[in-house]
Amino acid sequence: MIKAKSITKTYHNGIMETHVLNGVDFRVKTGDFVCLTGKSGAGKSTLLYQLGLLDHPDSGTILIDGVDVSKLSSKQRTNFRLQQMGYIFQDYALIPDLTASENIMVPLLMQGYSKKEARAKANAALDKVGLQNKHRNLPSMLSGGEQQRVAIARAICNDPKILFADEPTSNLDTANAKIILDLFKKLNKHGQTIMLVTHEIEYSKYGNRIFSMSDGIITEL
Amino acid sequence: MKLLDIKNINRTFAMEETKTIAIKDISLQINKGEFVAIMGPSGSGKSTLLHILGFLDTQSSGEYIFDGKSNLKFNDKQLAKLRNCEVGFVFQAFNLLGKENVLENVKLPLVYSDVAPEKWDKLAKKAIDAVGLSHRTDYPITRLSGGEKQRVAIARALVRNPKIIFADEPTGNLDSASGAKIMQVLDKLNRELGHTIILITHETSTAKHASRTILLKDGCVVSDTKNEKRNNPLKFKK
Repeated sequence: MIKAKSITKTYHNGIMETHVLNGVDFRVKTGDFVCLTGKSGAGKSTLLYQLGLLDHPDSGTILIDGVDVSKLSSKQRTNFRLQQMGYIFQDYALIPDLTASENIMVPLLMQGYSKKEARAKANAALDKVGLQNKHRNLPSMLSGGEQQRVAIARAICNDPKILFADEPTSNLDTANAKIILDLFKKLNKHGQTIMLVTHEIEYSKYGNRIFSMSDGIITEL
Repeated sequence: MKLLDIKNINRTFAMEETKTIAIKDISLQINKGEFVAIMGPSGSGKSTLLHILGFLDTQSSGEYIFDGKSNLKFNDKQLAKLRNCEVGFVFQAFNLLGKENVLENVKLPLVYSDVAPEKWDKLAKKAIDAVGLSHRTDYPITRLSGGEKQRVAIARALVRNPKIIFADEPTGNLDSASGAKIMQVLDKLNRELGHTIILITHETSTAKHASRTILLKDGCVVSDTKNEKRNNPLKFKK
């Protein structure tokens, strides 16, 4: 599904140069649950951002289902992200004045779904993450773990080809982290391709392929 | 003309066996066109009060009349519509969609509104212009400074032309120069465009931009004063 070849990324800060990705080759197959571990600053999130089309590598190629994503226009990239990719971040990124259901509807409405269709899809996604009774709750009325489940529902509501999760359990206690990881496992069993970035090595056992990153170099374990 | 009218509002939070009284018997009125700063130490009830006024929470007892109607008379669906259409929110953490550009973020409240899609771009661009960010319309959020992100959040709050804007510590994550710019934007929205604004802040220098300051302590109003020496806004610059 994803083939990344010789990806490099360097950040510049005044005269300082930080080589974050040093020629990374990486493949994700349909149905994979890939876990990417490594210390803070190893380049994990940077790689996820390149593969998730949230950033542009300095060099190298990324093919997604045979499409060279460097050839896509800005608008095509936006549509690609909206239609084919789901994202989950550490901080949930929910809008505080929208209910759980409305937060999930946002990307669907941006894609042109009618309100009725968007609401039905949002509620179905909330059911999938076990929050069927919380459709009308505002984020402030939900626990951290529940807010992250709303973020997962938002990411999966449009059946993305791949789900990118960047440290999704970092703000949660162990019990809630386990709920989130079990949920990923369940989604993966139903065919969802997942790429999870985590610095917690013990969480990587949830994946079927485990990679480690250090100094911008990736190794499969 | 009265926009908000609260009478003897109380808000209590129960946690197992402990009970916390966050708001104690507050009554106040806010008129259309006012710029009100709510101040007070941490835990004084500022955010709780703002959440009730902004329909993000409900009082435990007392009455809240918004534009002539009690908040308890609205069902969930009507409350969601009120939040989406009649009020705008600006939070300390910006709460923008990181993968979208400025225009898409500002359009967001329109996508779940009844406004016709062909009007979205025009309305969003007008709001972006009002906060002085026309030159950043197509920029991805990730390329903006903190102050610019907050101006995008203000434009998003404005885009539905709400009756009132609630800003919860909007300068809290910003350096003083960026914070000052945000206050210039809010000043302009209030003085030139007539928006009613309720702002929470713990900084006296920020509160000086408001026409009225309400001070809370331990869930009660301890003072409510008109600001005779309201800051003269600096000339607004893009």
